[in-house]
Amino acid sequence: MRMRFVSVLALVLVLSFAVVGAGSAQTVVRYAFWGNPSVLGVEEDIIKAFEAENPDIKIEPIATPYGDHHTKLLTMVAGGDAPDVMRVDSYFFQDFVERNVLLNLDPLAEGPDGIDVKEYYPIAVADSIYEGRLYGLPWGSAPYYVFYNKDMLSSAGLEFPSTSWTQEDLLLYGQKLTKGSGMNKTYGVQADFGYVGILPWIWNNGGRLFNDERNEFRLHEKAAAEAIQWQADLIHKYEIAPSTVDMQGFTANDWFLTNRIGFVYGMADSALYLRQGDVDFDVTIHPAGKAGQWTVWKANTVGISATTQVREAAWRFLKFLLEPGGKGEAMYTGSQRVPPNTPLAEMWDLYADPSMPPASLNEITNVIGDGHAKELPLRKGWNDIERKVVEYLQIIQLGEMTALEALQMAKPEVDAIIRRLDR
Amino acid sequence: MAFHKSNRNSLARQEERLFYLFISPWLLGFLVLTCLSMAASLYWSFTEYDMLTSPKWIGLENYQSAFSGFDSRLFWQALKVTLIYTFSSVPLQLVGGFLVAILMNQQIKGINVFRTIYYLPSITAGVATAMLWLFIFNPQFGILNWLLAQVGIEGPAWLASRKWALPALIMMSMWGFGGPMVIYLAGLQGIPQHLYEAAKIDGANAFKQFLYVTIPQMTPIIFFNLVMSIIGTFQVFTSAFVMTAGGPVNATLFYVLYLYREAFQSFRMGYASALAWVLFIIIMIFTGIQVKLSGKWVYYEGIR
Repeated sequence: MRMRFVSVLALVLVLSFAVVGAGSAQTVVRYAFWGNPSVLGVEEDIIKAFEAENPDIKIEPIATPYGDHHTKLLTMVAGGDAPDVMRVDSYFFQDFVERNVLLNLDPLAEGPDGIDVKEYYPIAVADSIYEGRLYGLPWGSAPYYVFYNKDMLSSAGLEFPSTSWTQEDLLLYGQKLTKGSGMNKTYGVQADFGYVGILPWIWNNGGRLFNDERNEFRLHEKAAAEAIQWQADLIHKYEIAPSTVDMQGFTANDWFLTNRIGFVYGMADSALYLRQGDVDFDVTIHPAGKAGQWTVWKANTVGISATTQVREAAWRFLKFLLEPGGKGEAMYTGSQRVPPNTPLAEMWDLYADPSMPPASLNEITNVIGDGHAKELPLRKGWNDIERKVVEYLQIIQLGEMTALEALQMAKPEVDAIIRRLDR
Repeated sequence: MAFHKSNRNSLARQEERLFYLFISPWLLGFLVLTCLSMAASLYWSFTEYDMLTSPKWIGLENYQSAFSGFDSRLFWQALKVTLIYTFSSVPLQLVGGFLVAILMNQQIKGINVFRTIYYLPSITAGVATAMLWLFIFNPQFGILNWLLAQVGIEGPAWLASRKWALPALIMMSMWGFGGPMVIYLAGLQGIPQHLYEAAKIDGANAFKQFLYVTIPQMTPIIFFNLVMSIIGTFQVFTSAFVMTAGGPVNATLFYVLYLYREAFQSFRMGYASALAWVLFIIIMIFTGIQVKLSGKWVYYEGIR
């Protein structure tokens, strides 16, 4: 009896060690990203696929809605509890890198288990590089497009814009499409006062946000102020774009979907959103201004924590997630969660649905990627500076001041913020 | 006698021990989660601290920056917006809540349904309420401007207007008077009927009964709601965060929204900690004044 008890006890012990042993053989990689915590969607599929291929690694997802994601990351990092792999919006990228949150990936990317970074759109990877070093792989990289309502243009007897169109053309489109008044007014174009959205217009007019060192504010210069004034003029002078008062509570995209606005601007997520409606639309590049034809190309990054204890496993997962043309990218693009980071045709075939608008998405993306895209002039404290600039952009948008007056007032305040950030 | 005394003493000691035992979970939580955090934030308020690198001692610089330095413009704007909000919405909530509580205190059929309806908004999630009000305030399609249009008034742009955004949020705060209302209601039901009967015998009409019985009896409740509402409104955040992002042009930049942005978007936890301490002191001063003044107008049956 006693022998049997001892044998059973020994068996239980052996089994429990075996269970513990099997558990501890798995390396846990914690992966933080933004998204709906209750519906992980494609992230869950990618994690499952990765775990099936890598039974020695377990991925622990940490999903947070976008609005709280960076606050949570910051708190986790500050508490010494940084996730091993984390998605970072490019607006926060330099703040994180300069504070040693992210690991320099060059040794891993160039190592025997590395990847060929050159296969990404060069501009897509720019937002993951700081001082020549790679700190992440691009996620959700896309240019800033112009979308136009084909039905509205056709019924006004207008041809669709070519890629070589100009701002004067846009003005003409706007004037011809604007009809009616009050509640029933249909507008030709959207006036773009977003902090990122305003950049193509500024660049195309020869202006800039910062000096080359990105340590002085330059929107107060004539070319930049003129470009911003032109946006305000679309509302107040030409009356072909709705003001915030007209738009309030709804987005330009909402109006686009109800055929109340002909031209709107946005990234790939806008294309997916607009596709949900019944409107037939297509995409093109920003119109040329007197100094060129540029648009923004923005990417986010997914990096590895500088303090991770599971570097190799984290890299293996990151590589699976975002390697050019890899399984992760195929699953992201196949689910249409984000557009491809690469010009690879097979990725675009997965992403673009030829039966759905916008038909020219792939073509226009390649046109933009081929010499019409600029990266964001990112710098430390991007959000701080943005808030101050937006304050003045709102004043201009409301028509309370001219762009030049407002931006000259903004200049000392923004420069003071930059000095504080750089001290 | 001696036996009774020692027995009572041991009973008292036992009760004391039980008191500490029962209160210990809260006390421990308070000490670790609240006191420690407050002490840490007090220390950080004298440092330059971005949460990711070690804090650097800078003395009073954060406070100086808020009151008269680099950050003073936004600091005073945030404080002004919050004070206007507090001193507008607190009276509205207190009076509105009180009047509705009196209505809800009537003995009519189905009163519980009305009570539930009036209380419901205050338990609705802040973000959901904010989204709903975004539609109500919409200048073109919103019900508010439609109602105004019915009486020939062209409604303003509400949240898109620098002038009207804050008044709009103040109006919206009325939506939350269900909380004070329920407390008033409990208070109203606790007023002894014999006081009304005595007043009636003395010839008091309904208005005089309200003035000389209801209000004095309710003063402790009014005082409680006043203190809690002032503390609550000083910390208002969600409506501006969701509906206006503090705009247009900082017209709805509430103090706590400003603090949140500085801490989590600008990586300035040191400065944000200083802001938190300034707010704490402001709230303490306001609460202290109210407690001091309460002796003149609040009636406690057990004391006097």
